Amino acid sequence: MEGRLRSIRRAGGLRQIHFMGHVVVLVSVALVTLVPLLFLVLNSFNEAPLGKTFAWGLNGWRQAFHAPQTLNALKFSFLLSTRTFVGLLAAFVISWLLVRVRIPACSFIEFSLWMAWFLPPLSVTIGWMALLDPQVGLINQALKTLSPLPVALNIYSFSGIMWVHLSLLTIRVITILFAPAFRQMNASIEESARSCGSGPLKTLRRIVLPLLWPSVLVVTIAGLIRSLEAFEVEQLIGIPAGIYVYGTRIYDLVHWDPPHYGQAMALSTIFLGALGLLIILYQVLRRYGEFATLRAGGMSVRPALIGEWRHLASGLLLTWIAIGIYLPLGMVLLGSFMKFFGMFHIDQPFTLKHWVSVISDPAFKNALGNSLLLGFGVATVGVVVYSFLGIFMIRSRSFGTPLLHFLVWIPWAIPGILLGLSLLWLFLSVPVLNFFYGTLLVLIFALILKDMPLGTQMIRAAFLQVGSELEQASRVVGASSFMTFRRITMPLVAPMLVSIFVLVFMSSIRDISTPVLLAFPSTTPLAVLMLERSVAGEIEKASVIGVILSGLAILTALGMRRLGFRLGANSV
Amino acid sequence: MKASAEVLLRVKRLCRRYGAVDAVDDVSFEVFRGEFFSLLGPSGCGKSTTLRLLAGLEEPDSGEIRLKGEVVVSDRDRIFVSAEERHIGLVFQSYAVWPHMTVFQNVAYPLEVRRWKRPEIRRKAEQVLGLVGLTGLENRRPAELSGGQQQRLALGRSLVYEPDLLLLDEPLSNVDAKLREQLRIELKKLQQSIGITIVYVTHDQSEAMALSHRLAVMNRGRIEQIGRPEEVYKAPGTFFVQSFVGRLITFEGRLAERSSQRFVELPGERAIAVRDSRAIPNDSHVCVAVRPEDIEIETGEGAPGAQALPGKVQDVAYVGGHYECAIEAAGSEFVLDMPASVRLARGQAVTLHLKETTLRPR
Repeated sequence: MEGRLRSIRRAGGLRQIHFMGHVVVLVSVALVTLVPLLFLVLNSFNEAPLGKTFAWGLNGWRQAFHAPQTLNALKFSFLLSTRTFVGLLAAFVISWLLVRVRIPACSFIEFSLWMAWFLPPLSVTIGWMALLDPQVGLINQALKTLSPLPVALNIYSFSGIMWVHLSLLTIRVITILFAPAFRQMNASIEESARSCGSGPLKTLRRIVLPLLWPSVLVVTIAGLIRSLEAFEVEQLIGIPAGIYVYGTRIYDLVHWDPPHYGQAMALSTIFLGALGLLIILYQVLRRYGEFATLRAGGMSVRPALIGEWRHLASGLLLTWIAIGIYLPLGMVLLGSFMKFFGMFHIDQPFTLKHWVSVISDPAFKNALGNSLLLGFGVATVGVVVYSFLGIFMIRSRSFGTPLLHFLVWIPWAIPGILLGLSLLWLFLSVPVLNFFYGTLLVLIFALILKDMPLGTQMIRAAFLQVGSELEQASRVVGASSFMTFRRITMPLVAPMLVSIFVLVFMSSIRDISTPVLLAFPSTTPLAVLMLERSVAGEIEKASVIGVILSGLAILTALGMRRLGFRLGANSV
Repeated sequence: MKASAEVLLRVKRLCRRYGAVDAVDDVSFEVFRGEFFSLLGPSGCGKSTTLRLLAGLEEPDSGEIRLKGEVVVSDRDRIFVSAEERHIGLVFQSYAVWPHMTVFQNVAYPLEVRRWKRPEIRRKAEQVLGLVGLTGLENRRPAELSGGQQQRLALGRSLVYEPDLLLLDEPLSNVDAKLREQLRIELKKLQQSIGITIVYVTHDQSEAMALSHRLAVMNRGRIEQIGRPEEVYKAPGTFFVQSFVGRLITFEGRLAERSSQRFVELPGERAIAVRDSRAIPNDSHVCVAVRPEDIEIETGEGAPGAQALPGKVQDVAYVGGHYECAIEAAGSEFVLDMPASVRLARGQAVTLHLKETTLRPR
């Protein structure tokens, strides 16, 4: 009886604690997501050099609007973002083929697209350089001997950048965004149109497209936001052609001596403005899109019939994947064993010396150690933080929950280079924080922030999947909240947490644009070392690192597929 | 239930709002020890919310719940005993058996939580698994069980710690019709043999009638009537109860009075006499409601009478054992079961004698 009395709690008291907890979480998340960005905007009006007191002025803005390269960067960023629309068209058809038609070999195609998510884009870019260099590129050499006309494809060009993005990134990203929309559409909707006598194309045009229209709009905006994130591809093949985008321009400005921080901040602010508009549009459309998607029960995905065409479609897609992913990847592998990158015609072109020299290089060992520390640090702390946020979002139903969702989502829309720049300034100029400047902790913090939207969203989904009834059943039979968490919730979500751990690990060691501005020589991770080597012209050494990172990525992807993990909509 | 029986559960003026909706609106009832009590109503009537309030999974906005005389919820005294301390059993509609545990582990868990000793857990779990017919499946995972077996596992898990009160949330709605009938019989036997008190939530009136000692019919968060199944069926307190419990055939018309006898004038210049004492003014639109079993059918145009209506057979369907006849009369169309011995044909004229009618304003 005494036990009973002790356990009676006063209702109402907890609600107040709950409210305070909510405010604390909301404010902390706002602090880490919004403050760096505000700092960035503020400092675009700062004329003082780093470490000095704030001096109000428009110098940064003036410079930004007078430097032709900065204006060029704006122009090319905009022009290159139009690839979203090309990608959209292709991705729509590909998702339809993969999800609804289930063309032959679709699971291999899906796996390849999925695996490509883990690949560092830079290593694939290096592969393309070996294939399409105007002088020594393998394809150009073949064209020279085969074609009577003097034609040469040049990777160092606007269309070269477009090509690498479309073949490797844009279409794949948008396909992964689209697939869930198709999966949500009940097959019988299409089938009833077919049985009314409308052909597959007409059904697509009259039934499928109008139904998916809200999703199309949302995915377009998401694709545009993603397209503004590009950095390393442009750094490697844009700069030789004199093409700057705002990401590479910021990198450039920060690496001047002395650095043009004001101008970099002004340029960033312009982009933040553009992103802000896209973000608002995205949020509005997403709400509308959710309303419009069909969530009727009995979701069934049955193959749609398109007859013999499916073999042709499958063949085309396989060719695209072979050319877009496996060919450049193979080239990087080959290139890492070559005396001179892409030079096949010399005597004994193959050698192991680059592998030997890279592996014995202290900088490599240091970077490998940094990458591992970074990966484990971000994944371990990240999973804890994301779990807390994910569970908090599920459990709390208060006025601030939608705001919290939005705040957690923000880093998804912020390009890595922008995040890097804002954190660089923050860690340099804020008194207590500058103590950490130059350490690996800054990189870990930045990447935890960068992966927060993906990680939190996935953990939220995992906990939702467990189902509150399984937990309630445990409470009803007499288990405390702690016991329920330990015996019911944790064992059920553990496999998912492992997957998320691996995903965050991979995502943080392959990221270049976020750590590039924050890394010191002593804290450089592998991916950034690869960029530095390739920018310095040591392509063969960059290839070796590219092969190591890609191998790790492929192994991870294979391992996770073994665990039965699927990459979902929110994880791009 | 004897009037002298002990009250196990007393619910007083319970309210729970979701936004602008009164999910549970001023609900009060009592359940006696050993009783099988049902909450019956359409989906969204608040019966499941009431159950979750009893289990402690929701907090009410106001009201009081007493279990064995002890207050477990009271808004006035600001008392809320959490779910794990109420010692109540709950079987979820989805069963909510833990997929990562074996059958044995599922049943043993509540005892582990109570810090029982290992050999005692084994003995008790085996006994309960025998009771619900799962002996021999101890090492299976829930995914390897059929729907009916999962349901029994959920039941076993809730019985193993001998709770004072067992709550069942539509436990039979996820199994197919044949199995449902079998499980229903098993459940009734089980309740009788161990004498546990049950509060049962369902939208299926035949289930509620067959199982319960008493039932409460709920609509829009309120209890419309509480009573034994026969009472609720034969003397429905409201029109909602009458139409929700059992089938009901209605005729719409206008109330009139001729030489101090009240009639309802129906379409087709027909009228039937009504002797309803309800104070409904003359000339108002009304519904005449009648249970199918209170209609007698005579073939051909029978003798006209105050309670007789001419009708016409629209369709006849053989459904095995008996016929279902669609009949049109006085502007209404309805289906009546006819024994196989009575052969009606499509288009045939019939006369309906209404033995018991009730009158409702429209």
